[in-house]
Amino acid sequence: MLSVKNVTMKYGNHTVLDNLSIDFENGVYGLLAPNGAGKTTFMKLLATLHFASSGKVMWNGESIAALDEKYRDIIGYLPQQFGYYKNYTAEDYLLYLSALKGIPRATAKQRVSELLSLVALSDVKSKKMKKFSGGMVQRVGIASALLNNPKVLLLDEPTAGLDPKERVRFRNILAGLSKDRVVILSTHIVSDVESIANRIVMLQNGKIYCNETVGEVCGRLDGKVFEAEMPAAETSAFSRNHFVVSERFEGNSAFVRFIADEGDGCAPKSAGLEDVFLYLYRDSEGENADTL
Amino acid sequence: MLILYELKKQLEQPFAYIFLAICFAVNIFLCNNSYSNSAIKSQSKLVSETGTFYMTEEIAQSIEDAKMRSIAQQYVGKEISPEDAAAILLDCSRFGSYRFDEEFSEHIAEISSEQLAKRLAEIAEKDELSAVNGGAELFGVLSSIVWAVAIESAIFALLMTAKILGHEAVSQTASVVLSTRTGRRINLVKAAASVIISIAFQSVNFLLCCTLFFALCPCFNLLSAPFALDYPTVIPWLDTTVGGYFMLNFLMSLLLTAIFSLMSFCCSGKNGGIRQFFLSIILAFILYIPAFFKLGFISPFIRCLTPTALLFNQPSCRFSVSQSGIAVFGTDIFAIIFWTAVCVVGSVFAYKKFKKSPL
Repeated sequence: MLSVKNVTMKYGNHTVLDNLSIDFENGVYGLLAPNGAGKTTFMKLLATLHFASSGKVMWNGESIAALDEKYRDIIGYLPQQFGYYKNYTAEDYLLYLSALKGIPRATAKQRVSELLSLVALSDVKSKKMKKFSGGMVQRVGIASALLNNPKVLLLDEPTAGLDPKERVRFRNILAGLSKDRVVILSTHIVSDVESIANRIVMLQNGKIYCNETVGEVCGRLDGKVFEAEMPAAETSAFSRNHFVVSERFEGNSAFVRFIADEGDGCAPKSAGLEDVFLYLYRDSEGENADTL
Repeated sequence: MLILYELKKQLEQPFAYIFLAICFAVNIFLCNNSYSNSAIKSQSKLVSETGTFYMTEEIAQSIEDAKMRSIAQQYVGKEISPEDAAAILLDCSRFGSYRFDEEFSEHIAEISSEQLAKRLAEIAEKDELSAVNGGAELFGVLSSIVWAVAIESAIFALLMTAKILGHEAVSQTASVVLSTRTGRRINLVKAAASVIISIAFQSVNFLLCCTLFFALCPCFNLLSAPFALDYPTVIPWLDTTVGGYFMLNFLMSLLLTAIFSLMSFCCSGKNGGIRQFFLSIILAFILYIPAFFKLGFISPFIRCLTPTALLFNQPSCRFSVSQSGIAVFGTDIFAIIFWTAVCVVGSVFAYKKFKKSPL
């Protein structure tokens, strides 16, 4: 189990993570927060790239700082923007990272081959990465995080640059991997985690706002999400007085999804994770977010 | 294993080959020095035609000037090459004294050919001292090439380190690398790769230049000439040939490149940028003073601060220091203190580089 105990992280006078505590067990955790809310800092903390100003991160009861290389041996980390060498082929790059992870070359070759197949890059394994599309590079990154068959998989915005088909493939891969490991998926793309995350962790003002299942999170807005049909010309006026989540236009009519305590006769709708996300962080970059 | 990947990273940079080509193009001018090359060719030709000559009573007597004759007679029965004998005599006639001690005179043996007298007459007539000093000319050209190549390697090491580390910093490779098991030790591997690639670059560049030079100026026989004939007080403890001393210089330049490359790596910041650039320039200035001196920019006094001076006990350095009266501790002690300080500062940089928190 990966435990975060009273961790505070400061950059100068700015507190990014404030006395944050959470336990991660096997399964997929969707870490949701808007940009700049501290997701990446939190992920770097778990990847031992940052050290907490105070508090501890423990793996099975031992501090990860004390475990040092033993801990890094069991994590797989894909940063938000990961560096690669343009002149390396995908295979070379993964073999290089295998060497860094201390995987014997023979084992590494087999593992790289498996992973390239998993991310559908076997056909281009000998092609230089400078010729890859953004999505292909991202798939190489995902494979790199899986090289050492990690017990803790830390993925920071892993689906950026992937097309819908690739995202679905990626979600399925993650779902399969989460049975016997901790997968922490940091993103602000709600749909990435809605279908596969066992639990949703939302950050607010540097603290854990919630650590619940998708159903529990969505339940916070039960009875508060509505859809109104109105003439298209009235949507602007309506938006000024209501918190509108989405608008859909059909001819001269508009279907407006909004969140409010009272529906005023409008049809109630079941709340989605995106509704919660948008409502929670409706007026800020995470610093002045409201509560539900 | 990791070092192979680090080397591959550098070898796959097109910049490395472009820079090598530029260096080679520049070095063509060094290799093709018509004045030096003609003197070297002339000396080489003479040696191949006459072999070793020995001073004889007859030749000594053939020298008309009484003072020069008396000097020449001191070398009767001692080994000496015709060109050096000519140089000695011309020097004596100019400066009214001779500069060789007994140790050197032991290297001089009997001259047995009449060609010496003819040659001496020719040289005296033309009054071209440099034209007869073929071994020294050869060494001068070769060491110019050695130090030019060394400076180029230093620039290469600097640019390559900045390029690779700069790319890694910008593309955030460090995040991936440092989250791996052995990632925290990667700096040592990178430093080693940087040193290896710089030395390899220098060796290839040097080989290309030597090939070009000897193609333009075939003079292999001069490489086996005793170096002490031209520089009798330079290496009192080392009796070697021009070729041998030249190789020692090359090895010394390789050592400096390794030190420079390592320290340049240690000086590099997270962004591989400005700090490294300026520190490297200072470092290069210190390490490559002999090369700058070769190009005539640096006084002999400053040259004594270099490791080359310390190791090979440069005579001009001693002379300058004693004349200026600055080196009250003596040249060697001064150089040792200086280089100890350089090494301490370098070690501090290295310690910081390899031990500090990664991010």
